[in-house]
Amino acid sequence: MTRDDQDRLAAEHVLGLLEGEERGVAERLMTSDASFQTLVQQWRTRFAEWDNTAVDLPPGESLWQRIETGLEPQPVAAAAKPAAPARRGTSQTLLQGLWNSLSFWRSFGMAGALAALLLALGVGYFADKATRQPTLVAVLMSETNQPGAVLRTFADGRLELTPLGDMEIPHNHSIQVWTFPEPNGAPVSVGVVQTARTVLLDPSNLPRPHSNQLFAISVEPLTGSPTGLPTGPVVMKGTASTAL
Amino acid sequence: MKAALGEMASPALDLNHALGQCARGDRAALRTIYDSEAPRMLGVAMRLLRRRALAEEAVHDTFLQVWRKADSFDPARGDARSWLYAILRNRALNILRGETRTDLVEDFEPMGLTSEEESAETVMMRLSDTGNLKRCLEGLEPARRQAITLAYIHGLSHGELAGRLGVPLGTIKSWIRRSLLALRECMA
Repeated sequence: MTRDDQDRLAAEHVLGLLEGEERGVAERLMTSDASFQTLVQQWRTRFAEWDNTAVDLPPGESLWQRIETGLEPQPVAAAAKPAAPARRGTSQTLLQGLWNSLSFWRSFGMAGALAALLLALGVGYFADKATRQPTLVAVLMSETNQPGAVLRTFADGRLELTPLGDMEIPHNHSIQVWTFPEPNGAPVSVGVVQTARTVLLDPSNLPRPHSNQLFAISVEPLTGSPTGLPTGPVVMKGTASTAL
Repeated sequence: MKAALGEMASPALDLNHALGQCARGDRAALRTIYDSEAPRMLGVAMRLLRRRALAEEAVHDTFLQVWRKADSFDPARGDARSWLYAILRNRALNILRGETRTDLVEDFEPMGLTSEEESAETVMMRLSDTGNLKRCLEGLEPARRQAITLAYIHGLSHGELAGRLGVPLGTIKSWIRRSLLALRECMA
């Protein structure tokens, strides 16, 4: 391919005019050929003035919220893959996302049952460790349906979070526990956790949790969500059951 | 004094710096880029995709990519703004060429391309008088100028340009190629 051919290919790549085989050639050159990348960059610079002729359209706050919900923590958490970002222009709130996530609830059944069984077998261990009897227990499942943490609530309003397995909190981040006292209401923060170990949380203003109440964990800045609502990806969630 | 304070209060966003902060996991830096660039990016995406929901999807996906790839941005290989818009155009063109292509075209036809706002001549008028692009486009025959402008602005394919401008496909291809040669020479 002559230099002129390459330059034409670079320009038409930037214009978006390439089709079929030529498009494939350009995409391959973009990943492997530095001189082609330079040609493309030159055309991008030449055409950039056209971008400034577009009319500014103020995006709504919901677009930013969807972007922020989809952000992966950096570095990416090993154990917990972030939830898939909401797509196709829906303005789902996080809350609706949680409740409406059919795929989550559908796949929850089997894995949840298994986790509950494992938990039941492990109750002796927990009973030894706890000085009091929990009122509710929730197994929080990750996006890949692995049990990620156990949450237990106590009659005095405190909650105990026990991370499971290889949970890692991304550097310079925390995980924040949320719950939904009202199934259709806003999430309420239960507590912020910086290290992956069993911790006791003592939220104020949290109504007594009830059976089937949803709990979720999101990745947040080190000191917790700045907005009072989840801002990072939800990495695990689960509902509470009465502890017998 | 007042003017000086005003200037200090709103310094031009240093995109290079903000991208560096993103690479270190600073979400506030991404938000700064969003506040500064998202309105223009949404406008660019709207010209390509014509639908608000699709344009928002392109901008959404772009910011997720910017966040993921911020550490691979190399200021030595091009400026930050051009990097952002390259990601945006790439994403928008993929959406345009992807599964939504059919219904986009259906939507597209009745709107026409000669609407006041979107015509190539209107775009020409909005181009900066001091920039090279306007000066060099003015050196092209109007029909050729229109072809290359519509290709970039609206993402029209060779076939769509041929239909729109009422000339054979081969003619469009040769117009574009000759225009590119002329632009390269003029802008060198």
